[in-house]
Amino acid sequence: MTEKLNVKKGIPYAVLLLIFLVLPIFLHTSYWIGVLIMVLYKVVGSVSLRTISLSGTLTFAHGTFIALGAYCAGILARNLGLPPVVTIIAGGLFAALVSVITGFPFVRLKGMYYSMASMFLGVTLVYVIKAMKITGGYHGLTRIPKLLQNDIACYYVFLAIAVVLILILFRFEFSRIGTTLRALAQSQDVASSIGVNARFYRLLAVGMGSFCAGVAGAAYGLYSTVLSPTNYDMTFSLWLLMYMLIGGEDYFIGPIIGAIIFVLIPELGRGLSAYAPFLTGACTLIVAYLLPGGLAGIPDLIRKKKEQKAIEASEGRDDRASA
Amino acid sequence: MHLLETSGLTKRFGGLTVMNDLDFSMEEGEIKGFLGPNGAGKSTFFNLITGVLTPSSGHIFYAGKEITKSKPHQVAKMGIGRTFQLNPLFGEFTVFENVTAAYHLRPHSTVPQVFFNTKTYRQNEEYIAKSADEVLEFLGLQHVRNELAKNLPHGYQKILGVARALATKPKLLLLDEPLGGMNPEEIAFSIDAISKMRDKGISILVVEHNMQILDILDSVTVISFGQKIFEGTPEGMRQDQTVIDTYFGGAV
Ligand SMILES: Nc1ncnc2c1ncn2[C@@H]1O[C@H](COP(=O)(O)OP(=O)(O)O)[C@@H](O)[C@H]1O
Ligand SMILES: [Mg+2]
Repeated sequence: MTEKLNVKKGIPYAVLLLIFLVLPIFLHTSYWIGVLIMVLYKVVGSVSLRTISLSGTLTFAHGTFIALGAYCAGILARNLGLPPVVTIIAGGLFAALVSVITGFPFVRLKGMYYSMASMFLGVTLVYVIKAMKITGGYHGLTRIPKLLQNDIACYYVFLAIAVVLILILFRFEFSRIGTTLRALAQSQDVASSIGVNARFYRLLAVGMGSFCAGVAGAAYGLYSTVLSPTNYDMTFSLWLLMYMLIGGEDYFIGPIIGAIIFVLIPELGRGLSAYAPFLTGACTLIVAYLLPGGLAGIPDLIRKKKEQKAIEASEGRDDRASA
Repeated sequence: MHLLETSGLTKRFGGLTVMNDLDFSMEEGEIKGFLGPNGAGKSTFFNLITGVLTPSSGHIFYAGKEITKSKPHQVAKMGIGRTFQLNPLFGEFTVFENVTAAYHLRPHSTVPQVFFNTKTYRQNEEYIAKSADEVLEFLGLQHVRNELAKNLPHGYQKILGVARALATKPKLLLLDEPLGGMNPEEIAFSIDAISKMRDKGISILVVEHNMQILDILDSVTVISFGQKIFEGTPEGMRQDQTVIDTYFGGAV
């Protein structure tokens, strides 16, 4: 069943927003502001990845489209001096455009084949970034004009961007478009038989997800002022996938929770960051075995368990009554 | 002009000729049977018409337009609805969601209309919810409206497949073994429903092994090994020696 919307469902989002609004009051060093911006950046990366996977396709190139947004905005800001509003939107559009053009021949592929094609696409595009001159090549792009001089101001701009992008993706999913994408994921044959143009809708999801990813990448690039192609290799895409899976891909809030927790965990204990891959690996196993719906699925899991107990209890009574 | 027409329709899988030079036609308003033993090529025929498969040679015309190379979603747009023999559903959707999802074309809301929640979109969705409930009512699925499709008993899943096809507002409906795996009660109900759909003006082409279907058919085409062996009325078919020999193995 499609995730249902009601006011109660909005509470976690409101709480999260409130926390992110007040956090800089406590964590106002430039180090912590950096961490918080990183959290928001990866939240958007992971949520937009999930939008693409709604239609049943798993992409390994998502990090690359974040890179394309970042590089596009960085180059426009650095070489042409365009203002952030323009470069950030341009970054998103560029990522969307490239994702749709490169996705066109791929989206008909099914399951694992699509994933593999996306993997090669991602690797190739990063290779192109490393080989080109305008991108700063292997050493990266430096001296990008900063988004805003004040870090805390940067943070609030980033928060605003993240909220808008998440609202866009939310609207996208909880509308007939989302229903159509979910239908496609369940059976392409049936979806086609009711008139769904599978390629159009897959590309729509790819384009929408990549646009939001590109915008987040662009904004993050303008904040950090340097881009290194090694930051956008396959592992980056895999991390985003991981946040989504551990957070719970059946839930809109899943990747949000996943990204927040797994970006923050290594920060909580110094020296822990070196163990982040192991910690995440262990968590993945725990989730895979104990929490099939991911972290966001815990409330549903508890409810189901309770219902089951209630049924068992009533059955027990029936047995005694009939005995 | 025929509603649906094929000429010289041929389909080969590797060396295997599954559909061989088939000339077929049916008229608007007709309810027609497309019968034949297992493996005769009936489902292949449906897949060729709806663009799931492309013919090796031959032509397909629908309402005077050539659709030989059309894609499934284009064929659906032109007004051909279908069910599948193995009856896949949107298993993770409820019964109601399965039907509402099928209103993709009529009415159609464009992506910007949907995204910006325009008045047209909201009106369309309101209409769809109402109309979907009518379809469920008509096919006796109202009491399982909120069940997940994958949890339904087999017979109900088959009927839901018909409901979904009906929701696309087809002019021509292709039903692939709609009575397969149903109990007698469900069969009687479904036959009645199919004949009512015809009364609503939908032309129907039906593949079915259960011979009770003959009662509501206007005409019948029988194929065997991808070739036509009979064309005529249900009564004529019952008496046709070739049909009796190949189809019923002489048992009738
Ligand atoms: N995709 C395919 N590849 C190879 N052979 C196929 C394929 N689809 C169907 N066939 C073969 O075509 C023949 C007709 O199949 P089908 O149309 O499903 O028969 P029917 O629906 O009349 O029972 C069968 O022999 C079947 O094995
Ligand atoms: Mg068949």
